[in-house]
Amino acid sequence: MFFDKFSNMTMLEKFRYIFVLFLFLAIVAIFRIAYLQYLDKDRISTDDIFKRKELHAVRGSIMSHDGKLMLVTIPTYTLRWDSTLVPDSLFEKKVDSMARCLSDIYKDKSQAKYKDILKTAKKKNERYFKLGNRNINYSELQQIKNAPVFKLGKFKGGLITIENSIRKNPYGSLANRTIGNINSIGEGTGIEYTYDKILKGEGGFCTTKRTVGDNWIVANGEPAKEPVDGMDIRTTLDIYIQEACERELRYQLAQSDIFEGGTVIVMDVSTGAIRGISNLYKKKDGTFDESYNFAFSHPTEPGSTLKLASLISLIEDNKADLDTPVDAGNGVWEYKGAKITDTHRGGYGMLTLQKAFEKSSNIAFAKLVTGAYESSPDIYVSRLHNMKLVERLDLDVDGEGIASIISPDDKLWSGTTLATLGYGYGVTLTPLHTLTFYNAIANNGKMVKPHFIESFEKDGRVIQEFKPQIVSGSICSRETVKKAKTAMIGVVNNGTGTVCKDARYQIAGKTGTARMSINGRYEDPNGYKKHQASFAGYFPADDPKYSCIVVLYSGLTKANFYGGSWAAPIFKRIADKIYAVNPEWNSTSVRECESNKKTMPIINSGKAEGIDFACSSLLHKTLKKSRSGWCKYTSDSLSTTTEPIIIEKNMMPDVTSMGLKDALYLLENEGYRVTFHGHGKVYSQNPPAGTQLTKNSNITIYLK
Amino acid sequence: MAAKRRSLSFYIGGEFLSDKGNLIKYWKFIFYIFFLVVLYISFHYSMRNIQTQISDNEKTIRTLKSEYLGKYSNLLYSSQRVEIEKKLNETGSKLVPPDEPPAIVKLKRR
Repeated sequence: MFFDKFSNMTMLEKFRYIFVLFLFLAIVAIFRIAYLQYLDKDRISTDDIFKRKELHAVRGSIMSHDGKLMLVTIPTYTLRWDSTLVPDSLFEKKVDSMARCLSDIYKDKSQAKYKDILKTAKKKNERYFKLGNRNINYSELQQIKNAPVFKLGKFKGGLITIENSIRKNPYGSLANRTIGNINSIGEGTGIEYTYDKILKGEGGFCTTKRTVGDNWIVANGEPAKEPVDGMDIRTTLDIYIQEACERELRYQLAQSDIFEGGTVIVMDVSTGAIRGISNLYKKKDGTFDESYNFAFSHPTEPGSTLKLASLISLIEDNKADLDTPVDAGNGVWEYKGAKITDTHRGGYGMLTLQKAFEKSSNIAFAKLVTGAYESSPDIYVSRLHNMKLVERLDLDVDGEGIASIISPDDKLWSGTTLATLGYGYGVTLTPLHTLTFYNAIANNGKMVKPHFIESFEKDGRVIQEFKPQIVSGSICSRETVKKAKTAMIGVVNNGTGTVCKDARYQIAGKTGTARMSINGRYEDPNGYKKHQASFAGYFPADDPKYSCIVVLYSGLTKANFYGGSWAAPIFKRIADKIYAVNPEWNSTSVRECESNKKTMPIINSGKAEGIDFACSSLLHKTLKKSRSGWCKYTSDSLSTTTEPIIIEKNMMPDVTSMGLKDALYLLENEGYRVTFHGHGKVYSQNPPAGTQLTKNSNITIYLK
Repeated sequence: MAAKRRSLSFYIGGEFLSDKGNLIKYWKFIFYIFFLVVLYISFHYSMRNIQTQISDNEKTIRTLKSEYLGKYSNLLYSSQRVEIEKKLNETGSKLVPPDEPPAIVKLKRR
């Protein structure tokens, strides 16, 4: 009826009806929108569209002296599995492959065990089942994501990935104590703790807006507050030296059960930069770890290593010289009721100061120091202070121990204190304080502040650099330094440090053996003692580059531990390792040869520019018909001819006779996937040169 | 009232779109406004796409950085002298750490 009427209407009337219809629909739509926007219980609120998002700053890394990462933030992943999302039939079919993959990655259970675990989880319809026994890294995550079922993703395969981040030292426990750590409430140790503010940066925030496809984008184009990433810290540590320190210290400590721990520090003589530092402390289970900072937090009486300070004082104050005679007697000397002894049975008898230093005679030093300063001991103590022996070092890492000397006006000062000061008691120093003093002698009297931090950097640019700081321009006269050096060389060549003697290069140093105080006594009622065996010195003696100190701490024992036999060998092995990588120390290493103009070296394939450079700078020869780019060389004894290697898109080039580095560089830059076998130079390639290829084509090269 | 009714039918009937209304006089301007609106919407849409792409790229960079750091970290661990020595021992290699420093070779032109 209506349609008959409608068909008889004029066009304008028809449009009018349609217009009204659309107008009605529009009004309905507007009302519906208003209802959803303002009245509906589940209406979308501003919070559903806009969200505040915290933007975390990336924590800076800690690097070695040459830029290798020593502590870095690495993402790790915890995996959970929603078993209900995987159809039973698919699960039954693929459970073996899933179990194999998990077993291969986590390596904590067998494939069969993982199969049982997965089946149980599936049977119980677990929706948040934890996979594996640990967090995994990105590569491992990728392997799991490519495994059957898991590769179907979150909604079909049920794999739930939770990202976390950890601070990781790529070198394992290397320099752990120095690098340090920090916990969630801000307590910690080492550089990580001291420079937390520098490393952590400053977080920011932004408002994000939901868009189509449930994507969230930053509203207004940019964050309200940009995060400022933390700065990287470049330390002074040298990985090679650090590794040598730790390895040798660990090896030596393993030689006897009696050791409680030890420390090694290697310092750059001219700058005071710490190149290696290791602290090993024995745990209850008998293993050693870097849990205690002996190096600069543990002041003790140094013992004989302090005789260097006594020797310098005596010479500097014109009280003695290296050839001054002193009677060390029969090995026992009673001084004001105290018995001073030497380790050598029967005593050393008459000695010069030089020999007394070499043999480390307590009696000789006690006699010389008391003879020279008995009437005015404060002069001797002032001399030790003037040499900055107990100066606060203001280290750039927290935890510096306090060094001290008993003064004549101190209540601890007794009639025998001056004598004991002469051979290393009555003073407490950390190993780093002792080393700083020895380093000053190696550095011709100039004392530099030890430091661990070289610079703060951001994106590879130096933001703040720390220059070496001088503690004292000269701790004694040049003449005295020279004599001190002679005495230390004597220790290694003729005295208690002969284990460090080496014909290839000279070490200078001083051994130290000290008893450690146990509740104010050097021996407990049962006759047990604690020892500290040390060796401090520098090398090479003629042009010192590194100074080093080794200190080993024993537990209670009735046996004796000497610096010369326990600490000096570590020093020597570390010095040997450093020597082996420093060609400039080897006096025989600079050899002059004469090149023969007539002979040409054998040259294979490679970049023409590089080969030309090598030939011109090493052999003073320029190749004829020099080209650019990749070339193949044919040489005989007199001449070399070059042919360019044709490199065209999607065509296999000739890489035969190239080294692996060159071949990989060339082929992978062309977009091919390369596998190789053997070592040496490329002798065969598959496919052969000239074959048409596509991007990602597989190529195999064989080397011999 | 009659004027009002006329006015309502004028708009509801769509006559304002015909020659009788003024709208037709301004068709160029209306077309221009319409063009601007389309342009605005397309720019807005394209900007949102770019922002989504930036966000995706940032995610990719983070992922690549994670991969790089993981691999670099493993490489650093393996490059320790002690690890290299361990691997050489496993392969039965007779290589030992050097005792002597490398020699500096100076060539003299004859």
